[in-house]
Amino acid sequence: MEPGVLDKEATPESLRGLVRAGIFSPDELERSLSIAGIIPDGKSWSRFLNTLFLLLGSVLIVAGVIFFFAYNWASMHHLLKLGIVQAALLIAVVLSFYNGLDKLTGKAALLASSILVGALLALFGQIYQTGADAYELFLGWSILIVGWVVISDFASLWLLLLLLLETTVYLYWGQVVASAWFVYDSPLPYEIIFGLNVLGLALWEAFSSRGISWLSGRWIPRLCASLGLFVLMIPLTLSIVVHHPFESHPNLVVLLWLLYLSAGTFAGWFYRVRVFDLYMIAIALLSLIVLVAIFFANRMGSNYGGFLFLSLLVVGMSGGAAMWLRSIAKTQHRRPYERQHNDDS
Amino acid sequence: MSASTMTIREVIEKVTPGKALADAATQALAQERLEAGDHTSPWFVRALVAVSAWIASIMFLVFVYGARVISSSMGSIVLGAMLIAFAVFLRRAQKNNLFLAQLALALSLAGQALLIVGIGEKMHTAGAALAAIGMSMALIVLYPDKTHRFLSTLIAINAAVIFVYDQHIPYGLQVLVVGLAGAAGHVWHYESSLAAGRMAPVLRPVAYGLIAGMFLLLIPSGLPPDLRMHIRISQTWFPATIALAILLLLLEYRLLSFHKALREMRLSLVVFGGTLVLAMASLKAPGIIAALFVLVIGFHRGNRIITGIAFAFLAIFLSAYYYNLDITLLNKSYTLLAVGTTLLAIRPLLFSAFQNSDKEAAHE
Repeated sequence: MEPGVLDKEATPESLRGLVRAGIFSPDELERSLSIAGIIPDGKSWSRFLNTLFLLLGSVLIVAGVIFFFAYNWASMHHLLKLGIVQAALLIAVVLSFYNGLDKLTGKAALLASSILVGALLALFGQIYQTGADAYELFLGWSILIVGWVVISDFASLWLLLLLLLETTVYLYWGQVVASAWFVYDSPLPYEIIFGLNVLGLALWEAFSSRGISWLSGRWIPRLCASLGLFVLMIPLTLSIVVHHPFESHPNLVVLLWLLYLSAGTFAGWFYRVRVFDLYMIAIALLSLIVLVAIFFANRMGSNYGGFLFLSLLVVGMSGGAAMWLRSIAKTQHRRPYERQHNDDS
Repeated sequence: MSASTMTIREVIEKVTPGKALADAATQALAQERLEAGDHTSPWFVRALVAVSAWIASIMFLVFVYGARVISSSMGSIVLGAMLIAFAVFLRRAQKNNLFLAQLALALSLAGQALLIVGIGEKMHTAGAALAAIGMSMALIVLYPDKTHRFLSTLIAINAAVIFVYDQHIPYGLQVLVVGLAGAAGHVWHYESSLAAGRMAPVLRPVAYGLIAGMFLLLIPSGLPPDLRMHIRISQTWFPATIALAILLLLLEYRLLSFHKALREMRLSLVVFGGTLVLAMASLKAPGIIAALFVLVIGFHRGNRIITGIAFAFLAIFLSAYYYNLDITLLNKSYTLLAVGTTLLAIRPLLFSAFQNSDKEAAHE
């Protein structure tokens, strides 16, 4: 019998468990869900509908305004177009200033301002045909909003900056170095983008451990990790399936694999020992399973018998990965002292 | 949908005051955790297992067909049935061994594909579709796994769609949509009563499958009219909208009764009147009412997954609705502005109606 189990937070699953065990009747379950605040009361409904109508109403009005200008766009004078976007930018900045950056509305207004800076740059480039490459727009956009990002204390704005910088790197490579929209001649841009994500992740983990409240969520570090890993998987896959991958950059291919293996190993240690986050370990394992499957599938050719082996290999690897993840999750449940991010169902 | 901050002990004491249930509850919850198996895995571990099982089953099918392991439809049926039977046996015998559970899932999916393809070659399409429905329903009961039950529900729904198309049943797709909505609404609304029954472990994954299946079936209603004509999808969706609106009104009636707010005329008027106006405005787009129906169910049950799915599909169907409106961009912008302003104007009305309802409840 596990002591203290009743002192855990009442969840729908735990309360349903009491019905299955015959401790609660169905009516009592319904009452318990209401008491625990899981089934909403009148006030919760009122709050929910209030927020829903505010959100939907605002989105529809903004969409209506955008559609209105889109309809009349072609016939507008270019100064009017610039004026509209600048007015929107000014309104967003004033709203942010008025509400203050300690409120979500103020932060959201600053995010809108940052996005509108990009819209203004794009419009400027369209009207005056500056001849600039797209990467210059993204670079300029990133530089212009850095100040706002720094003072914002808003994770979403930092994420926007990170994505803009990554887009700049990719577009620079595609437009200046490789002259192709899909970069396949060098793994370097992918490695740099991966590095930017790792940097973002490292900064997040370093500062969130100091108790900074706006860095307490997990969706942004998880997004950074997923994005970084996805970007790295592109050249990794190419290095497996293409006969002579990245011919002129053999050292960068070695670096690519070193990056992947060292980052995976470090993540496996860090997110198990220092900041417990099973998601990070799971995506690292999934990437490994996919790469191993691609490696063997690429070597099968028309040897269909080999696909039976591959099928069993995938089952074995994923089953083993799931078993290991579950075992470390169980171990972690018994260790209350680390920061835990497990998302139990 | 406020998150609970109460402990299980506090809830038990409030629901059953004076009864000493702590020991029994502790024992029951410890036993639950022991028996839970993959239920305690986070969603991304279950997703990893499900995706890998799909990949493994596809590899297995490449092996079966590529290496010519079977050469006839009867061979496909026999091998498929054997694989399914073995998978069910394996899963039931090894409830907590994840590796074998994973192997069983991959074998079951591969076996189902072989069986359905074999039957399809042997019989006509409708027969194969009916066989797939029967097989999925049997596996929902027999195969003790959440992921598999969810997938079986989706397979059964897809087979039903194929049957409806093959038999040229008029409005068949819409009947299916409404049936799925009704079934999902029933299961989620009576979730607490059903949680005590023997079928409780089966019902939740099936109920998620019903909602996912309903939204998948509604996607064609949001396609542009010329594309719908090209792929022979019905152009007239208003019967589904009307039926879904009736279901939504019924649900709202039950919720207002549940919260003892039916007598609050202003609230009832806003809720029922708003639903009717919305249904009339979106007659050609049943997805909007369906998403609202699921949104109400999800919020009422405190289920964030369902609420999140409903929001996502509401955004998709609203976008599709405005994209497909056969009016100029200028008129679309006026419509959006009018609807947005109406929603903002209704807010204070709704707020005061809720306050009145609360006052009356407190008075009683």
